[in-house]
Amino acid sequence: MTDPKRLLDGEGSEFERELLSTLARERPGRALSRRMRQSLLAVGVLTSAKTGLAGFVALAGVVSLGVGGGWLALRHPSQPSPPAAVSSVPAVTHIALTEPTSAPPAASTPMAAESAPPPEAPVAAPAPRPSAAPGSARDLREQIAWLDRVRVAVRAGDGTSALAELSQYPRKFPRGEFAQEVTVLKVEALVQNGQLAAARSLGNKFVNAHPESPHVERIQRLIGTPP
Amino acid sequence: MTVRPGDRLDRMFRNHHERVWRTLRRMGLTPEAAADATQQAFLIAAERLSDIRIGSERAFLFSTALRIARGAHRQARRMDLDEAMDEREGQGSRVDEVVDRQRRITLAGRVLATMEQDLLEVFVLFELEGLTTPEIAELVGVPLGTAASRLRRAREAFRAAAAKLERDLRRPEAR
Repeated sequence: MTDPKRLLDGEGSEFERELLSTLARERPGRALSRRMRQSLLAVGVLTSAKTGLAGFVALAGVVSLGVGGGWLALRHPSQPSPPAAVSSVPAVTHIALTEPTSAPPAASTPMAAESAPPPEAPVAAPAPRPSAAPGSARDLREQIAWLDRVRVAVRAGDGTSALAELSQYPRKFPRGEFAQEVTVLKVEALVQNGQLAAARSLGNKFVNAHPESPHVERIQRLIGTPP
Repeated sequence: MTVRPGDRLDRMFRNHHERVWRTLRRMGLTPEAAADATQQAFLIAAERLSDIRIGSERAFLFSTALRIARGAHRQARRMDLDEAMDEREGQGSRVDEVVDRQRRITLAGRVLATMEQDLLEVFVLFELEGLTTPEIAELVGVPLGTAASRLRRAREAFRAAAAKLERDLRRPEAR
């Protein structure tokens, strides 16, 4: 059986070829490609000389990262291995940094809404000083888990506690990989607290400093700035 | 020669992530949703790396992407050509003069959005990604004759939708 000649190769009309060549040339762009790569680096699917994450696929614990309205879930090593056949896609490993359609599971963390302490104090118990080396798999896991707890607090309306915790990020993770995500959460928490001027100021600074960041759109939405 | 899993995945990402993303876009996903789905395809690839034959990486990723797309929310698929036509208003008469690249992508994407999913998959893989019908048949999991038949029907559907779009875009010119 011989394949027909492709429309793009002359079989189609000029208009058809124009349509198809437009579609065939579309690329994700640098920002989206970078976002995909960074997310896959963070979970150890890709490796990098900088972060040395080879072998990080065997992640411990299911954690979710809700950053800028998104979440990232990693597979627990104790889950059964996926079937060897490649004919089905396992319902696993949702990795998304865009708006979720529903709130991610609110794990019972120290920052859950019900147990929110007075605003003066961070809700989360003081985290032990991380001993993991910056950039190591363990360090990334800790950052992701920490961000997840903060996100839960933000989503629970506990902006004050979230802000207090977020201010600790540079101390807890001096070489943290998620500075941008932390800023997005700060803006969200400020908006929740009604500190709109501060939210706008921080948001605008972020947008000016990182105009190509995938988080720009969300920040602009949060502070009410048209994209 | 043994290839380290990390190196293999790096190479797979470097060589195929744009095509996987583009295929997901053609299935009607938004750019961001396509990026999320691309990441998911690579996560699945990482989990099943030992099952993926050397040389079959592209087929595995395409196949996985299609399965993800089938289950994904497909906003663009719900749009029809009539909606696309609304965008013509105020633009003038000649498509190549008035639409920017993004608009062209949107319009072209909406032509694809008129196609049934099983036809769309075959069409995209053949016309845009350059796969052969035997490759597509294996990837989609249908007999070769079915793949060829789907491709024929898909091309008919595409050409009919494209012709309608072209007519509608040029309509003001004729007045």
